[in-house]
This record gives sequence, structure tokens and C-alpha cells, in this order.
Amino acid sequence: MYPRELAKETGYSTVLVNVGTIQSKGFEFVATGTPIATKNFEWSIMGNITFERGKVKKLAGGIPLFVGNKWYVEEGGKIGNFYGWKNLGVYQWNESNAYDENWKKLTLVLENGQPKIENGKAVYTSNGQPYTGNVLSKSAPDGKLKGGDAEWEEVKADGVIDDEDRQILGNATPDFYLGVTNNFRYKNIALSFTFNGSFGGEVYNSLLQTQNNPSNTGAGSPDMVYNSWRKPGDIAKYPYYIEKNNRGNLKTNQNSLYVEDASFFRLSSARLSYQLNEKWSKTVGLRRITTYVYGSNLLTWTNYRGYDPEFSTNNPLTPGDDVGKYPRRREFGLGINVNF
Amino acid sequence: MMMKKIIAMSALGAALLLGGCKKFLDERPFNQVPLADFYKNRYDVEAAVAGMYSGFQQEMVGKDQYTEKYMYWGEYRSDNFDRFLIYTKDFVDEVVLNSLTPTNQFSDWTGLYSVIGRANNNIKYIPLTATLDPLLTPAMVNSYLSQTYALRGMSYFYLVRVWGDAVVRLEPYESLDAVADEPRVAKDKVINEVIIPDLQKAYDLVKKGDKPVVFNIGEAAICATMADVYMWKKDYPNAIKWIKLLFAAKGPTGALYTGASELNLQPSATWKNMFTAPASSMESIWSIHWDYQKNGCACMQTSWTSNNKQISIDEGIYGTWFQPQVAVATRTTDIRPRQTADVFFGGTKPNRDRFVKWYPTAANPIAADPWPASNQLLPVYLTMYRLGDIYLLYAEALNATGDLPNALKYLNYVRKRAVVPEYLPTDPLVSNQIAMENAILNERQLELFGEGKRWFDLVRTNHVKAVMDPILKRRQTAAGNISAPGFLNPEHKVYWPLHRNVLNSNAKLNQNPGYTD
Repeated sequence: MYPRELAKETGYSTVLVNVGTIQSKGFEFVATGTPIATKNFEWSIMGNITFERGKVKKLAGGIPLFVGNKWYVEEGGKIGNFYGWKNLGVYQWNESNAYDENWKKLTLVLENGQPKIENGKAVYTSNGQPYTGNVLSKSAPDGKLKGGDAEWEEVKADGVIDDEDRQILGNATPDFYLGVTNNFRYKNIALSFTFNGSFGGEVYNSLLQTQNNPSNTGAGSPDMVYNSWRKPGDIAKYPYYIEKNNRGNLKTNQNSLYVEDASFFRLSSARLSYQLNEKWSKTVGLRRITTYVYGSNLLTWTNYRGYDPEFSTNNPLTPGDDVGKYPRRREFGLGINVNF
Repeated sequence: MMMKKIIAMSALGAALLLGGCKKFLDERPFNQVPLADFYKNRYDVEAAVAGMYSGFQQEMVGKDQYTEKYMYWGEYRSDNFDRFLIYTKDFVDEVVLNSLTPTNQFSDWTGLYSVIGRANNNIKYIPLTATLDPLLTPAMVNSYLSQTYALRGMSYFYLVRVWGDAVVRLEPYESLDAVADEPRVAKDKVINEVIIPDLQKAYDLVKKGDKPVVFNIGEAAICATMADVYMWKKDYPNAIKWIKLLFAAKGPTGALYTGASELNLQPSATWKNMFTAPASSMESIWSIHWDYQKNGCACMQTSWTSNNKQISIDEGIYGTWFQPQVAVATRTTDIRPRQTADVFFGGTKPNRDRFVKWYPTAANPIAADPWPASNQLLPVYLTMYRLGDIYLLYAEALNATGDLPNALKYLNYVRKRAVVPEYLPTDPLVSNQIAMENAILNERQLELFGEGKRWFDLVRTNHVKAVMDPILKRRQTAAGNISAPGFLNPEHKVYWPLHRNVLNSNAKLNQNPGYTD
């Protein structure tokens, strides 16, 4: 069942119909083996790799829909596509907002660390050649973009950054998952550990977005403090903080700056155990005693800046939104296993 | 042999499954009733009428915190309110900077069409129900139908004022086989062929001289809406005609509105009563009911909430009308500003977000008693129409027909009640038609502050460009814009864009000019 968008003027918003089709294709490859098995030493390994492709095959009436505040579902599109504006950095100078008549960005010529002005006009080059043609600039619906404003990629090149310039910014579904488990045993000592990983998926880092733009306590995260535009000429990642609410600088929930690679590889568990000599155990009237130490979520390799790139989502249409969920806990323990 | 048996058994299994399918899979949602099982008796009809009102109430007050379309459509785009810079959101920036886009959540008209859909059901099925249940008397049928036609007319009136051309649907949409996608109809045609006929039907059906319930649309509320519609059309004789019919109707206290002088308005000393207890006010015409106990927090930016607001009163009007009331030396006799917003909180750096019009405050508040105790537990009754509003509309209509003396009379009734000096006929502020129109517009701004009227007033009187240009220039300069061009493209931008989801779901719609399709 799938809520089909209905013309709103009927008085109804959606109707539950059976015609949305989501296709999930994929394959899983599992290999197990015991490369070494002797009396005193044994090594077994198990690995699996899973590829998954989720695609929206058909939507009722072909009408695309926005799900939540970040996702776009369209026929032929992938499930979990983040939708929004692609950030291209921050304009260094007011004069940096300059394009030729095909909306190709011009290079501003500097002189003594300031934009070079000739006859009251800034000087530009295009492909290394002096540019003398018409200079166009881009605007937000509420005003022309200037130094310290975020620069966005235009999908429809008309000089206005508006909702038609949104595009797919990434996808929350990983390209493949990986898992490897090793078991070693040498005489009475056994060691087992598991790695798992996920590659090619993206996460919308809502936590960082909120930290960067807290309501009343000033710039929140160090990333924001050290990478914001402050004065003309700054090369920055984030727009001028004072004017962040103007000229569409934030693009809350639809900003490619917060779409991050969530690939990771992690040592998810390890366990080392030692079985006491059975002669000793029998002297205290027990059949077998095993002592062990274990740990879980021990090491993670990832470029993701949030707490944990691995988290679950309830709604299958809105995956990969990290609002600062509690990370998986790291656990250590030791124990003793007694058989009577 | 074995093979045949298996095939036979699978065939039997399949038959059983197919046979069972209907019964097993024909699930019905527990919280919904099929139309065919509804409209069987009087109680169904009462529930259906309540459901229609509830849909409208949720549009106006908002389903979630800070989604009061009463204000987003009626006032937040005007010079009365501005964004609260620290707490603003992208969609609020668009509203106050005249940079709306089709993704703005308040450009979605779905909710109004939901009210219209419910009204269409009522119009079709209430007369049929009367044939099934003798308890549903003809008088009740007429009353419910009257309210239904009036609310449908009101919903279309919002559509026309906010988006211009609108899709017209006057029949229930009952089958998916019916055509769902319909194109928009020109706004003048919607007014003349839908809104006015609906209100006329409502008026014909309503029992004249009845004492109305203030939260329902009664005789006077129909007249008020009709007058408002004719004012929007600039058809002043008809507006005057309907206001006179309103004066002949009864208010919720049982008294005639009369419309003879300021004595028919809520007295100055108890001005607040018409907001906090509209049922007991001779001035009330129609208010929206919102009870904290039943509906939860109203949570508008002009009501009490526990959270910070994205919208506050614009610094311009705050500086000229509210701020001077703090000190006794600069205070005016005007009873309204201190009862409209808490001017004392925050001292010289007020947040400008403490709107108290809907709450019982002292008639002459001082710093010590600004907010009523446990205000979060109090109801909020938004006024749709009241006699003070109608007096000023009447003055506007009379002025437009050249009757300046009577226009001045009604303008002065409102000023007298507000305890501000009445204009003399020789005052240059009211001595000619243009000046008078401005004086009435300014009085409406103050008298009806926060009542969802200002934006529509500016559009109706073609004052958007003149009033909003300096405001927008100030905001654009404060926003650090390279240039401050003011309110651009007023000919297009007085209307909202159609929301992207609305456009996507109906292939026959086209975007308003000036916005991206």
C-alpha cells in the first residue's frame, strides 16, 4: 500500500492505493573456510558481502513526492535520495559573484590583495584570457548574492537560486556491506573477532547543522567558528554568520554541506578465552571452566564527523538522517564460564 | 498419479486462497467510516458540521506550533510583524522579505480544500439525511446548510485573496474514477459565481433575528463576510447594503447590532471582553473557538507558548505605537497598545513577541501585571469579524462613495471607544477622500492589530507597494543586501505561489506569475 498524491482540490490529500512499486535488488555472497586445522591450532574464517539497490519502479500517476524535509521520491530514482542545493563554497568578495553570459564563473583579478578595479569595474579573466563581455551575477529571491554569501550550483541557469535548482545530493543506501569473522584456537586459548563495514552510503548530518546554527548562543561548533567568512577576501566554508539568515544562506535540511560519506569499517567485537586444564577443574568438582575477556565496538575507521555512522531508521523512505542519535556503546567485559 | 494429486491439491489451495482473499484483505481503517455508512441521522450531521468547522479552525490556528495561517496569510507579510532574527526559519525569512518560493509550507492550500470537501459532502447529504431521521427538523437542516454554504464561501474567499485564481469544486469527490485534476478558474469568476452565491444561499437559509452562537456563522457573520467580499470587489453600494443588513441582525448577547454609534461597541473599560469572552460581548460577530482543555496549546506566535517565537512585532510599529506606552510621560490615552502587547517586558530591549490581545489583562496595565496567571491554560478565541471591524469597513465604503461626513462618523466611533481624539472634519488627515482612506486604513491597522486583517487591507486598497516599500528597504538594508529595491513586483507578489506538492499533484495547474513553475 502506498499513499498516492491526489489533486488537493478534491478535499483529500492522498489515497491509499496499490500502485507504487519499490524494487530491491541485490545479492549476498558468503564464504566460510577453515584454512588451518591441526590438533593444537585451528583457524576458521567467515566473510559475507551484500550488495543492495533499492529503486522506485513506479509511482501512482508518476507524481514525485517529497518525504520528510530532506528526501525526494521519484520514478526511476533510488530510495533514500537526499534532495537540495549543492554548495560550492562562499563568495570571497562582492565582486566574486560574476559570470559570463553562459553562467560560467569568471575569475576575479586581484591587485595588492584587493579586487582590481578599472574604470569603476572589476577586472575578470575567463580561461586565463581577459574577459570584456557582459558580467552577470546571481541572486536569491530576496537579494543579490555578495561576499560572504554561500555559492550554489544552478540546475536551471537563470541567475536566481530558487527551488528549481535543487538536485539529488546523495543517497543513504550503502553500495555494499561487509562482514568478516575470524576464529583462532591455539591449545586452550581461543580468539575470535568480527569486522563489519558499510561503504558508499551517505548521511545527512543534522546534528552538525543544528550545532552550527544554534538559535541564541552564537556560532556553536568549532567547525563553524574557524571556517566562517569574516571579512572580504576570506576563503571560507560557511557564510558570514551575522547574515546567515539572509539570501538563502542556510538552506536548512537541504544543504549539500551536511551530506557526508558514511562509509565505515569497524572492529565490532572480539573475544579471547582460556579454558582451564580439565584436571584442575575436576579437583574443585567442576567439569569445565573457561575464562574470557571480550569487547564490542572497539575500533571504527570512518571519515564521518558525527558520533556514529551506523544507526537505524524507522521509516524506509527517510533513511540516513543523523539527528545526534546515541552512538553504539563500547563494551568491555570479562567472565567465567563454569560447567557442572 | 502422484503428480495429478499434487496439481489438484494446489488448485484447491489456490481456490481457497482466492476465495478467502476478499474477506481477509478487505480491511477497513478503524478510525474512518465509509461515506455510505454515514449521514444516517441527526448526530451524524452534527458531527459532520463540527468536522467542517474543526478543519477551518485548524487551518486558522494551526495544527502544529507556529503554523497559524490566520496570521501567515492575513498579517505576517505586512508591516505589523517581522522575523525574530535569532529564532527565524528559512520559510519565515521568505515571508517577511517578500521572497516566497513554492516550497514554503504556507503556500499549500490543501487544508482549505479539505474544508471545502467536507462542506460539499454536507451540502449533498444533509438534505438526504433529513428523509431518514425525523429528529433532523427542517429548521435544523436550514441552519446547518446555511453554515455550510457560508463556510465554503469563506474558504473560497481565503483562496481568492491568497492565491488569486482557484480550482472550483462544488460537488464531493467520491470516486477515484472521477476527474481529480481540474484547472484554475479566474478569481473574479470565483467571487461572482461561487463565493457570492454561496453567501447568498447561506443568508436565505439562516433564520433572521435569531440570537447566534458566536463560534458559529450566523446571520451577522454572513452579512459581514458578504460585505468584506464586496469591499474586495470594490463594489461599495453592495458592501453598504450588507453592512446595513448586519446592523439589523442580532449579536450573541441577543441585542441588535444597530450600528448607530460607539454605544453599540464593547465599552472602552471592558474592551478586552470581546476577545476573552466573545459570547458575552455585544460587539462579537464570529470568533474561532480554541479551548486549551480540549484542543491543547494554541501555540501561535501571537499566543502563549513555552518556546521562542520566530516572529515578533515589526520594529517600526513597535517604536511608534507600543514603545512610547512604557513611560508615563510618553504614554497616550489609547487603550489598545498596552492591551495588545506586553510593552513592559524587556525594558528598552524588548523581544516584541509578547502578544497579549487574546488574554485577560488589566484594562490599564502597568509593569507589575503584564501577563495573566496561568495564561497557558486559557482559551484563545480568534476574531473573524466584530462590529469595530465592520464600522471601519463601513467608513471605507462610505468614503469611497463620496459620503465623507458619515465615513468620518464611523471612523470616530472607533476612535472614541479607543479613547483617542476624534478627527475634526477640517483636519487635513480626513479632509479629502484620499486622506480619509489612509486615516481609515491606519485606524484598522491599530484597532485590528493581530486579527489577521492587515495584509488583506493593504491588498484591497492597493497600498501594498506604498506601505511595504520602506519596510522592505529597511529590512533589506539590515540584512546586508547590496541593494535595497523594496517590495518588488507587487502586481504578482501580492499573491502567494502555489506549493510544489499542489502543483505536482494536479497536472492542470499552473504557477502564479512571478514564481517558478
